[in-house]
Amino acid sequence: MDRISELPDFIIHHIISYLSTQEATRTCVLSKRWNHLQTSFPILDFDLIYFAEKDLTTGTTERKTYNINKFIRFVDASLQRFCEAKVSLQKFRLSMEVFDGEGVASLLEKWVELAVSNEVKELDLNVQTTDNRAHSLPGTMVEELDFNVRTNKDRMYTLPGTLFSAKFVTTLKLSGCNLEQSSAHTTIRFRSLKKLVLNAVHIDEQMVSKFISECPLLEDLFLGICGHCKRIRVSHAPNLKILTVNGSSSSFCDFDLTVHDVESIEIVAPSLQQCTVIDVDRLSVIDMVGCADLKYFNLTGVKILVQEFHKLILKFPLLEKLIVKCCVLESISLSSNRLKELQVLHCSHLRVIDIDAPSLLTFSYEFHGNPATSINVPKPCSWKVGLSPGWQYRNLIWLDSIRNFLKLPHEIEELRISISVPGMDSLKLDKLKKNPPSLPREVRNLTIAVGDVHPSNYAIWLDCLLWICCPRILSMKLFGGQSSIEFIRALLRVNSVSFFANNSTVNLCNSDVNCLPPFLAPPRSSLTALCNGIVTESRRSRTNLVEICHDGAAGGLCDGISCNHDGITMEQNRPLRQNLDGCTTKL
Amino acid sequence: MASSSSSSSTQVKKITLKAADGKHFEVEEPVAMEMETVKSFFVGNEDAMKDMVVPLLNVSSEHMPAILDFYRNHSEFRKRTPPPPAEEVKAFNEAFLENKSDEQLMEMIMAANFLNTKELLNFLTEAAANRIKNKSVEYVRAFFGIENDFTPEEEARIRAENEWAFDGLDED
Repeated sequence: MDRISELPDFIIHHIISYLSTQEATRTCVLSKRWNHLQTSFPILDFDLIYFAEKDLTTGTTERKTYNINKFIRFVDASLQRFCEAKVSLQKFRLSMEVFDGEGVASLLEKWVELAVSNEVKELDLNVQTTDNRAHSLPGTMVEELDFNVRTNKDRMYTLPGTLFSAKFVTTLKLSGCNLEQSSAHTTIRFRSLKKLVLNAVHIDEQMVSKFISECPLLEDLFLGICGHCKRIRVSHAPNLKILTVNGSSSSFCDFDLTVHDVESIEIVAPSLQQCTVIDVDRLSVIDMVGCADLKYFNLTGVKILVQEFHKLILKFPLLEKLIVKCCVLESISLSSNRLKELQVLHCSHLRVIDIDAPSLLTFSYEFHGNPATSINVPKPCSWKVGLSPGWQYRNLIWLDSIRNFLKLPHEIEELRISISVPGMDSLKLDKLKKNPPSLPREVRNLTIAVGDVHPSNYAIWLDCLLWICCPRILSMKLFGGQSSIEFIRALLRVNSVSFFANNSTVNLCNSDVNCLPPFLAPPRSSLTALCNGIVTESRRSRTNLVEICHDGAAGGLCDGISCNHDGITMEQNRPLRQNLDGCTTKL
Repeated sequence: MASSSSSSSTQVKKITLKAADGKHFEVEEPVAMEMETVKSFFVGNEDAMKDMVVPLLNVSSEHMPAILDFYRNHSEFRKRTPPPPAEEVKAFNEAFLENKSDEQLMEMIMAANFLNTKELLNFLTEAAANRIKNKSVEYVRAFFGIENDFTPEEEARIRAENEWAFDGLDED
């Protein structure tokens, strides 16, 4: 009998909620029951990109045109039908580009009102203003024009006042809208709001404060602001646990950065657990007085001074994870009993790292060019190091400095080396060998990320890198059409293979397998043969596993390999998941 | 096969569950309490607790060992500090679904619904969704055993109304 007919409606909704929007919509054609179930499915996801029209002349999707009228009709009809089903709305997402925000205002107002009256719990509105004229202009002009329109808040869509009375909404995401005018005189009634994401919206200081003080349950706040917001003040937020201030999302929408960027951040949030501040270029003051509970702190791309930084960190006695990335600090010195994880990434001015943290479990350190001159980190923690040659360094000198760096008395769990410098004029292994001899450093996992390197240079790079360190697991990540087959050949040629430690593993990751030009893409059989070759070869040198990994998009080429040899496996990305939390409830 | 009671586990209270076909399963109390249906059986009925047999009318004994195994492992995952690595949970979940036919998956979804456990239900419904991802309409009908009660005209009309969702899809 009909197996599914035994399943209650809400379980079918549950299954559908894990599908993509298109797949979910396609279930309406299965049978009358499924068609009916579709009308009461409480996740409404409308995105204009699903309505892209194919350009029949070129077949490209580069500059898309959208059938906006069809889209509007579809949204309108679906919403009407849903309202008749009289169930509460779990999620309403609308993402569209409009020529003129005011042009669609009345329609959007109606939709938002319907969503609010159906007790919507998650509301996600992304309304970008673009300029139609852009499509008829060539190249650079388009960029400029688009840029100007996006920054013009008068052309931006202003949200209707009904939105602010959505008292059932628990998650609210707003992008591309103008919040300055719409809500200046409105009362905000987000009594259930727990998560608020404001991305590339025009908003001022008063509105930010108003949002925070009028949402008593707020736990998670994301601020990606453009507008006249020099100061961000977060206070009277007793339940706030996660705060993110992101300047990079605002920079694309704001023309005059020098005027609008945030200059100071003040936070008083006693429950705050996680705080992230990203790319706030002009930031000079971070004041976090009442945040003694903070466990996670991420400072990325912030021009904070050494003294300020150390003063700030002292205020977080319970800190467990600290990330400092792309900051101009010259030194980092910390003393903490709680700190478990520290990441110091791409701080190019950094010379001294001095850490006194007995609980530290992982230390991640990434840099371009030369490493810091003095590094003092408690010994029994696992090191993850990522490095790449700076442009100003000669490769040979750089390799030598890395060799010295690796003499540190620490177990290195992961070492990631990015190479992308073409022209290996002086790179010769015998030159490297002239330096005082020492055994290559043993690391657990060496990943070599290969960017712009000619395949003829693979072998020499491998040779040099395996001369300075010997990995138990070797992984390769190849970008931009780099050839995996050439790499395998190079690895077979390299003398240093004998330096592999016992039980070594070789991984080969190629995100562009399907992008290889036809002459480079080997027939499946030959790649398999090569892989088997490397397995044999590496067995001889006590390496006992070869793994080939590639991203999900690639399909095809490597498929056959996975089952040919039990030593070769393949990994694929998992699809995105949409979640339906809680079931349909009758109004 | 009923879960074995070893001599060392005398301290742990056991609860007896009766599957649809009458088979008995002796289960450690905390594991049994993962099921809201079992839990609610005992609410306000605490004295009778230990000796009573809880009838589970909609769960076949075929699926009981696997379902109990899921509860045992996942409650252990939840309690563990630090939390288990994602790979470990993934490996368990994949092994759990391996060799389960579509039919068995459907039956277990019904069981999870009856037992009223959100975690197992979410897990199984996601698994069902994964099995129909990127599949043709015909495949999905066969998967769920759905009879197409549309006339060809009706079906064509619905497809046309939702044209955007069928765009670029290879039909069989």
